[in-house]
Amino acid sequence: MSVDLQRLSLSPTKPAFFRWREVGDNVVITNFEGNFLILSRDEFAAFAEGRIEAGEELYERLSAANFLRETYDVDRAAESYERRKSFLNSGVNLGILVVTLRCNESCVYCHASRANMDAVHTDMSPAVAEKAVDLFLASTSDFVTLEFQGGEPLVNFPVIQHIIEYALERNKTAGKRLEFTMVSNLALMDDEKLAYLLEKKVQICTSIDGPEKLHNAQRKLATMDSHQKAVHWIRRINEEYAAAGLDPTLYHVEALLTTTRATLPLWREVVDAYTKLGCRALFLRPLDPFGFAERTRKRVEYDRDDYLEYYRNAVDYMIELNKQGVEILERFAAIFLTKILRGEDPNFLDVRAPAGTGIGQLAVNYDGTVFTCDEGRMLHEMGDDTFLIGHVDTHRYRQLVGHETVHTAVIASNLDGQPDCVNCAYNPYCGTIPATNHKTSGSVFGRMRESNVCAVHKGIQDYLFQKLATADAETREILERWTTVRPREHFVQGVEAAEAETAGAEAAEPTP
Amino acid sequence: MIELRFHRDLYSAKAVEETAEAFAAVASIERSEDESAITLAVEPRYTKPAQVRRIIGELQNYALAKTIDEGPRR
Amino acid sequence: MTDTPENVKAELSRGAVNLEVDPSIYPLGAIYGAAYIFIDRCYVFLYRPSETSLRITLQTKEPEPAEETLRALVGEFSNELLSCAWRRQITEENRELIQAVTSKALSGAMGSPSLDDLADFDFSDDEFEDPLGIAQSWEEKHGRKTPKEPAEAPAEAAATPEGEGADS
Repeated sequence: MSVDLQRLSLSPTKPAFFRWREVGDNVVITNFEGNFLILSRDEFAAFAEGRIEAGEELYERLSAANFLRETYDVDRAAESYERRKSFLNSGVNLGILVVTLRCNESCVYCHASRANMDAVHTDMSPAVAEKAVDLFLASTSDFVTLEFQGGEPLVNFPVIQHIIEYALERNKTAGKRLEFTMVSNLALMDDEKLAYLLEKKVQICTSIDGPEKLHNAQRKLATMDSHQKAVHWIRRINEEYAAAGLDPTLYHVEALLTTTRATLPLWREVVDAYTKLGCRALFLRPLDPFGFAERTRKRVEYDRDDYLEYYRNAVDYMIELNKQGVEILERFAAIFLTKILRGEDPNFLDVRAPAGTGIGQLAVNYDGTVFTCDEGRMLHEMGDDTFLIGHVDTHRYRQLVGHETVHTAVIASNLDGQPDCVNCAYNPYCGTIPATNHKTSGSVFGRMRESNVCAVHKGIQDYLFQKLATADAETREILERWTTVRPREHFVQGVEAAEAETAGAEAAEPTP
Repeated sequence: MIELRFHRDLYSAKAVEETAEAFAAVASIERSEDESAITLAVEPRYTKPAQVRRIIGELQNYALAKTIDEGPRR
Repeated sequence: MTDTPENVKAELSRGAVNLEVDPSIYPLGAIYGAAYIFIDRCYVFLYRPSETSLRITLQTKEPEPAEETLRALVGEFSNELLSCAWRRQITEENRELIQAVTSKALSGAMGSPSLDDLADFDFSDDEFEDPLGIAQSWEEKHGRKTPKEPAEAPAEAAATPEGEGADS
């Protein structure tokens, strides 16, 4: 039986502003600053009708979480809100450099943002690379991650080296805390390249789509051994980290998963594949709507209810593994739980409000064109230039970040101006991506009730609140541990690297 | 000849004027007006039905987009 | 089309669908907002058949669409229109909060201007683009409006069928 608001005599004086949502047998209430309480239906009715008095257990719980008008602490609410939105104080901390579109792999979910290996005209030149570095080092953020992407970035390794050398030199005067990250399929890695990347403290991320058969079917190399190659280098790199005396629980290759229809029944195998590789985090990312043809979509896409069942199965299994001493966390869960339980925002640019579009990240394409985000860059490859905001030759940092498209994206991703989100209990923890909205609904605002991203975010938070409501002490402890962020100081370079403890989430790893 | 009646409270007069100018190369356009609307009588210079359909349609979109681009109507 | 509401009329031969709405429920700004995002796939025309009605014609750019396509189109447009109307209301109600967060986000990300930035600065007092009306003051938004000229209203009835762009 669900809550029927019309049968309640709502009190206009007792409750302070709140949003609510039924989850299982309970009702989750949240307030402006993002505090939450999980109430039984009877407790919710008593709260909404104002049938609560000082001294009662429920009253004290509501008061402590700032849900009551008569004890409402405005200063505390403002401080909490400010802490949650502290990412607004600084600018672009993620600079994406698409060093080439060329790629040696052919993935079922990626067509538009890759080029064949002979398309050398899609390699970034050293001159464009230098201007891109200058752009990112002009950010107002004192922490900057430069992320090498493609195509396959190892295809244009000389430019990666050039960027690293140039950025380190320029950073002597820019004085940023600087981090390099490379997203690679690793198939073109060799000893020489690895030695350089390790020496320059480049954080290495790769893609693993689960067990070998599935991975090789989805990420195709001519030799059909993309999984074997990735696994070989993951192990090798992790061994190098250990040999350098780095804590293997913190320093290891990060792997990213793309969930297709074929992945859904294999949730156990996917988790097992990641734990076997020594990964301590798994990001159960659903497909995004960029980069593949409509014909392919029909083959790889799925209903979001099916995705959420897969998600719940996988995370339940991960919690069980944690109870058996295997440390692994799910990233979506870690992001949301950090916001829910710690009152902080881990600054994951796609799940924050306003989104990181143009104010938290910029993407420079191989030819020097600048986009508000990588999704915007992928749209460009599909023929849509909505998120193209300039060029490194002609635009300075401030012109790009102040671009009207960025301004629009900031307004469009503010959940307090968004139908549905404005009343959603998960408003304080959630986020929307203007480029994804634009692609799926034609409007940067999107329509949340029709949005796959919204369905996924709501479904995951329903699951987490259900877990928080019913979890035993051990499960609760595991979920709380997932919100503990440990900085990876080794990867942070620059004049104030020693102070990296306070660095943003891009350089940090939640604890499994 | 196709007559398009742009109501003044829906379309900006400036946007309709600019639309008529922009499409002069592909259509002969005669403008008339009354208190509530500006009417464009459009005779496309191309005669295939698909071409006529496209010219008229794009002209409508142009006028609407120009009107919206001008910002809130007060 | 079968099972369609009274306010929806399909013109299959033109590949078009007409949707009549009450402008007292859907303000013009919301209609613009919804119409604008369809102009990449449709030709959109607004028409006022009467004082209390506003007609939106969506004609697919692709000729001869299937009936299902038109049905989906009018459904999606209706959803977008409702979304735009509600968003306008929310934006007005939460104006101060949205404005504060937007200002903080942009100023935090942009920082202080450099000398080069200042050299390019537009010191004129021309209006900047503000499609959502975010920068309008309360008085501009809610203040007393100039009364309508009485002559405006009856002229609407003079609309002719030829004016709808449907026939040549």
